[in-house]
Amino acid sequence: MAIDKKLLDDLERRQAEAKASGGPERIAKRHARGQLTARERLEGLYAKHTFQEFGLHAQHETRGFGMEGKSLPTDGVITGIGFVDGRPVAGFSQDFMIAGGSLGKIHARKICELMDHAGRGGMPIVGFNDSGGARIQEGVESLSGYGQVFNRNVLMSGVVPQIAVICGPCAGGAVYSPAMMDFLIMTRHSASMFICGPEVIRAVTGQHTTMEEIGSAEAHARDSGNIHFIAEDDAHAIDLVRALLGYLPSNNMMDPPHRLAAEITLSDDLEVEALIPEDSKQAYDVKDIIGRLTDEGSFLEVQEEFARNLVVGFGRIDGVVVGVVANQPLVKAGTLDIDASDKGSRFIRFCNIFNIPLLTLVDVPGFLPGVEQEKRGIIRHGAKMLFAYGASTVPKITVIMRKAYGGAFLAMCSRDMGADLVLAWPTAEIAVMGAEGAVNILYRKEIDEAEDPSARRRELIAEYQAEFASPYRSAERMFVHDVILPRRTRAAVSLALRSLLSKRETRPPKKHGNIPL
Amino acid sequence: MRNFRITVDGTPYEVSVEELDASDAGVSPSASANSAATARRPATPAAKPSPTAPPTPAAPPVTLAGAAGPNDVASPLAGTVVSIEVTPGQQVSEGQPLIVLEAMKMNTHITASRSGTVSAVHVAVGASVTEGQILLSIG
Repeated sequence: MAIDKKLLDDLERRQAEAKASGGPERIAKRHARGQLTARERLEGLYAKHTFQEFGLHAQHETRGFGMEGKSLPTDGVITGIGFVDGRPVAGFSQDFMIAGGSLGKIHARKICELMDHAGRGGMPIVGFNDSGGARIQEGVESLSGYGQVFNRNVLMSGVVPQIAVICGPCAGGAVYSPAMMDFLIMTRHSASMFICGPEVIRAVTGQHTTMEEIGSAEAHARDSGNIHFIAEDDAHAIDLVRALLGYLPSNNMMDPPHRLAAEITLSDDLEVEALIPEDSKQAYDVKDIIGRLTDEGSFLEVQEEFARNLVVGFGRIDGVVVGVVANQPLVKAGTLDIDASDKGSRFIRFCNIFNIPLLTLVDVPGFLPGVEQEKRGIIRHGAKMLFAYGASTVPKITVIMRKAYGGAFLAMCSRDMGADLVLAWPTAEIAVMGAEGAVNILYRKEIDEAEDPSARRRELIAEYQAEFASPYRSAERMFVHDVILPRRTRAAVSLALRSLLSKRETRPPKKHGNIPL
Repeated sequence: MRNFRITVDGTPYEVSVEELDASDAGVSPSASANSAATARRPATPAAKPSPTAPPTPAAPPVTLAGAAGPNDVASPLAGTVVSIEVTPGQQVSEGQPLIVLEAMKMNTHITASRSGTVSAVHVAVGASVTEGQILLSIG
């Protein structure tokens, strides 16, 4: 007695119907535009045959407006678990071909149940966003659905990594689920994201703008800083998700996936020294230095186009996953400004949550001076850097390459902000302020009374520079652990990382600190 | 009627400007009067020169900080002009060095974001510039 074939056929028919999405014609059109379907996005992410779907047979509960009896297979969102590099990852993917991917009660419930499951299992959440927004026919049910998703984004924040891919429209309230996730990836040509579109802005304020200016991937990557990566297309977005997951633990109780090399590189790297210009006013590209310190090809830059005066990203050093934070002398002289502080502090906090050691490369002349910076609150924004470093308990290694001046140096993880190891190059200038400013204050009277004040001033500046703008004053007082040849940096950092992998630091219990936001 | 975008302290304003000769004075031009853009015209900040602009009489009005058009190259930070690598009329290609600024103990190289012809250089060597000030224009 075998199972009744009719039952098997019925199930297979139901499965095929639910998976048909918009049907072959609309799918072909989508492919012609270079877009994948919602299901193809998840299948592309996961190892073959590992996707376990939850809620394939789900249907909407919309009543009124002629919706009764209408079939919306999956209710416009595909949810489930699959494996990426051997680790489980929860995924949802909105299907624009089912009622425009609009979010109704069941649609929201599917996402919420998936997120709950991911929380219980301790696995990352990846969401592909491609939706026209709220399902208006469902009214406040839809609004409530968004609220339930948002609340879970908050609950899961700091527990499991959350990655949003924006691969279609994402407007109004719908933007806030991705906005509360850890990383946002946006496809260059098919995605848009905004609260109020150009037409609403024009009607209300009279300002003329375009989607390109306010809602495109470029605008969010470069100007608003809302997203972290631009993908050329859906396939590239999937590659970026996989690359990113490769540096992240599945949850906050695990270590990141270090791939410890059997032997640490202890040899010198003379090329690092060739990258540093003789003239300390000459800029260099700090990404070249990062490239020498991290394992070849391992550096994944985050927010490449936003606040380019600070470079952040993930890499490996002899297999150990690190988060790199580095001043970029090529842009705005490497100063910290409002945007750089926001970018840096958020990245530092992410690394701390997920047990990723921090490597800080310092060449900072100060905070960016300017009326605009002061008026927009560089004080509270710059404070985020100090707060984020001070609150981080992961291994913190700081290398002072050249300039390390004043409060901005403290904001780049000085020893006093809890760095476990501070190394300085002989080129380091560690001082409370620049020689010009210091001399003007310290020797005002002497300069005024000199026969040739400007010559005396120059003399004093040179003396001050030689005496105080060096690493040795700090090394004498143990503010830096050692002054090293730049060629030794990779070996020194690699050794330090290995020795700090089991670092544990406990803090007084509290709900959370009050970071100035 | 011409449309301009003016940025004051980082806030962009869309303005419509219509030239009126004496005979038109007192006649309300209906098109502009009904325009929301005209109603929001921030007349005062746009009319007075930027307080942070260098007080050289030769400084052209386009050096108003922040009012960068698509052809203008604005200073990324406050500093002193160390050298100017190009002259008006010169062809430049993307990435070519235009101006070197000294600011915050560092030299910052300003490079061309696109290819074109330098239509004007608005600053001189030794001049102090503010963040957002127009350094030169590429036509």
